[in-house]
Amino acid sequence: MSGPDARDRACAAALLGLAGMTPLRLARLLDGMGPTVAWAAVRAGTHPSDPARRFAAPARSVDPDVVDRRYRDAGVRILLPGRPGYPAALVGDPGAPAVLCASGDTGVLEARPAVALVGTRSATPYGAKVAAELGRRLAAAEVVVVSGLARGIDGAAHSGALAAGPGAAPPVAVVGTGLDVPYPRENRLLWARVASAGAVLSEAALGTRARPMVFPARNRIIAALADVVVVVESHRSGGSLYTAEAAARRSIPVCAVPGSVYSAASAGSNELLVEGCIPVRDADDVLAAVALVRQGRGMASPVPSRAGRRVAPGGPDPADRVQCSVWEAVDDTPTPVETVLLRTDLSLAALTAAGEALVEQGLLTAGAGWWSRA
Amino acid sequence: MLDALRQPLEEGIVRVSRSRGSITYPARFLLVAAMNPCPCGDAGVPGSCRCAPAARARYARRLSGPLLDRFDLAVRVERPAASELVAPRPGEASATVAARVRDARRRAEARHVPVNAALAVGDLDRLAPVDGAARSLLERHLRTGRLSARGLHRVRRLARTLADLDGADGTLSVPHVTEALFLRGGRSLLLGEEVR
Repeated sequence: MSGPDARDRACAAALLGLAGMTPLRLARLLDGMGPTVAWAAVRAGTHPSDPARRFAAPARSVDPDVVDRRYRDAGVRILLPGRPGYPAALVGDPGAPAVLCASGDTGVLEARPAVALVGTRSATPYGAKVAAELGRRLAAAEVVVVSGLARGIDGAAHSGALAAGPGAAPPVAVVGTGLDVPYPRENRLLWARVASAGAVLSEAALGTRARPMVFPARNRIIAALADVVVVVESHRSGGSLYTAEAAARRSIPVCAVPGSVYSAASAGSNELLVEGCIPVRDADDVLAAVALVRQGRGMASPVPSRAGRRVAPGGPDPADRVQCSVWEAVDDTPTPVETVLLRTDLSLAALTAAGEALVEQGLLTAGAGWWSRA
Repeated sequence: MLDALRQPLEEGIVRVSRSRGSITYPARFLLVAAMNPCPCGDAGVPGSCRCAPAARARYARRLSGPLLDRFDLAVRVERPAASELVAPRPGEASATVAARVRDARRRAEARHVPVNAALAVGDLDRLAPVDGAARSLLERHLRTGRLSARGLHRVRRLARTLADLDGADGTLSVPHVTEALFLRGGRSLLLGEEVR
């Protein structure tokens, strides 16, 4: 290993793998500080973002060179904002991961439009067929298909993109587990094919297993990478609505595929259409939306939040990561502070300080133990 | 009945007065209480409370303002989601928490009080000083009526304890003060503040 860049990557990987690390904690540790400096400060117990020194003892038993070797042996690259390989679409995003792991070539994302195809894990044959067809036709039209390699719609979209054959744009996946933990197991082969054709990205350390919390979090990365998000099939409270919401907050157009009014699997996506999202029947409709975005004439996309209300873009200073994460975690309807606490994983002290600041800026209104967007 | 607790809460003694004289018993204790937010119990979830506003107000009035003002912590307990009942998150071990509490108590003892709640008002500026930003935050809460004078002292003692639990000595800053305000602010749900 040589050079400051290599040392930074090794230290970033070591920080990422510490027990109890979360994307937000990692972002705070690396806020305005290079990984090598941050690692030394964490080990020494002097890092200002770790006043309780919770990571000092774990860090002392870790050697960044050993961690780095594990990543290289697994064929996983560590990507850092502002360094080669880190997706340009994530630069400046309020939820951009401070450290991103990649299998394959993230270069496929540059100079090509990207469309996120997302939807329910329990897809109907109709949904799976539409997802596969959209994946194949979009890839053939040189559009990178971004999805989450989950069961159902995600897997069908990736399979479709891979089926477009040589000359087509390779797919990109963003997953919630470590890159050495393919999940779900039945998509192992598909996972390997996406990694070898395009890229599989994760903000989780090697060895991270599937947990319910990681999937909504990775959906924001899927949304941020895309020019347009297409919800193929979604239940009324499906995880893909998180992706739609994350896209709307970033002013990324959201499309939805209409489904039967009798199908529970289409209740969420049909609801998106009622709210004013762009209806798409086939790849041509999606390509029209992509073309408008690329011409800089983005289509305004009102999108229901988790609570079923419209979300307007606009929020706190993207440079303030803590405030951004609190803002992301508060709904348009009154959200208990305790719920925000669970969603953000902040300390109560840091959370209430950020909440107070957002109330001061007029972005949140405060009730008795509740916050909601102003 | 509950309001009879006010004197022992404040002075740590019970005084019984009869015609022959009066007798005083020591009564310093920690009061822990639980109640529903409203008669139907659903006011914790937005939009699901079925109680008439008048019924909620009547229910909340069963606790007097002066009694409520003496509670430093009011923590709302959310109904757990189905997923959390099936697969609970692992919590922090009680031994870890106990060690943290012991540590914080030692810090309080170093100030020659058994617990920070016993800090005299006159000692607060020396033992629980707040920095400039935290001071203007408290002033804002006082001005807007969200904090009473008694509440101000209690919030400072509470913030001192929260800082002690975090192992932070010295001047109190905004995060611990906002945390203290939040933990005290849970009472406003019972004081009948409307949730929009």
